[in-house]
Amino acid sequence: MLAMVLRLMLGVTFIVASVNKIGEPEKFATIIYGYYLFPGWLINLSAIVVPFVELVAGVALVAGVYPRSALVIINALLFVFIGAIAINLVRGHQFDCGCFSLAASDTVESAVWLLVRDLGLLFCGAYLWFKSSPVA
Amino acid sequence: MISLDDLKGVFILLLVSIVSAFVCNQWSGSGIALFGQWDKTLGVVSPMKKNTVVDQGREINDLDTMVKFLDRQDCTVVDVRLKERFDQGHLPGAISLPLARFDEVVGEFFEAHPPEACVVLYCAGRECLDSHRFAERLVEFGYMNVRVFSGGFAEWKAKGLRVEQG
Repeated sequence: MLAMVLRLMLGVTFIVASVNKIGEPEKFATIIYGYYLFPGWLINLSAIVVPFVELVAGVALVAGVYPRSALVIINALLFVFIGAIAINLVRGHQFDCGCFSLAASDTVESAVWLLVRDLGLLFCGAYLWFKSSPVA
Repeated sequence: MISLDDLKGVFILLLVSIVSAFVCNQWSGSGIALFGQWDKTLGVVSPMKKNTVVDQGREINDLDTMVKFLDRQDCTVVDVRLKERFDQGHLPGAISLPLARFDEVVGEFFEAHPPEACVVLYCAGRECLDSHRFAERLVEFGYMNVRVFSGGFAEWKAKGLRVEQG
C-alpha cells in the first residue's frame, strides 16, 4: 500500500514538473543556462528533451509500464538535479531551479528547500526500487 | 541490480521521450532551436526561440564602437531597464524608456525621433534580452537604424567608463 502511494506520488510529481517546461522551453533553457554548469551545445537539447523524459517516466511509473525502468530514469534525474543544486549552493551562486514553476525562485533558502525536497523524492525512489522485484 | 529487462525498458522510455520531444519542439509555436547562443563573447545569450527577437546583426559587441555611437550627435542612446535602475546609473546622455512601459512612452519617442533616426538600445548586459525585444518593437513601427549594445550597463560600468546618475 505504501509502495503504491509513493509510486503515484513520485510519478505525478514528475508529470506535473514537466508540464510548464514543455510549454515554455525558452524559459527552461535560460534556467539551465543559469546553473552555469553545462556546455552551451547541451543547453537547448536538454531543455527540449529532459521535460519529456520526466513526463514519460512519470506516466510509466503511474501506469505501471516498465516501472523499474521508470524508477532508474527518475532516480538518475534526481541525482543530476541534486548534484546541480548542491554545486551551486556550495558555490554560493543564486539561481532558479525551474523545477515546477518557471517563475523566479532564486534565493538560497528556496535552493536549500529544493535540495531537501529532491533528497526526499530520491529516498522514495530508492525505497521503491529496492521494494520492486525484477521482471521475471 | 539492474536487469537486462530494466535496461530494455529504459531504452524504450528514453526513445519515446526523445522522439516525442523533437516532434513536439518542431511543431510547437514555442519551440526553440536545437542549439542556442550561449557564448557571451559573441553577444547577448539566447535560446534562439523560433521567430526569435534576437538579430545578432544589430549588436554592437565592443566598447570602442559603442563609445563612437555615443559621441555621434545624431544617435539616441536608450536605456530600456527599469527607471529605478536608470536613476542609479546609466550611460552618459542616455534616455530612459523601460521596456515594461513601451506602450506608454513610445508615442513621445515617435514624435521626437523619425523612423530613419539612429537608435542604440541597451539593458543590463549580455544575459538580458530586453533591448532586443525593444528593438524588435521599434522595427515593427518602421525604425530602420536600430542597434543593440550587447554588453549593456554591466560591461560599461565594469570598464570604469563614465556613468551618469538621476
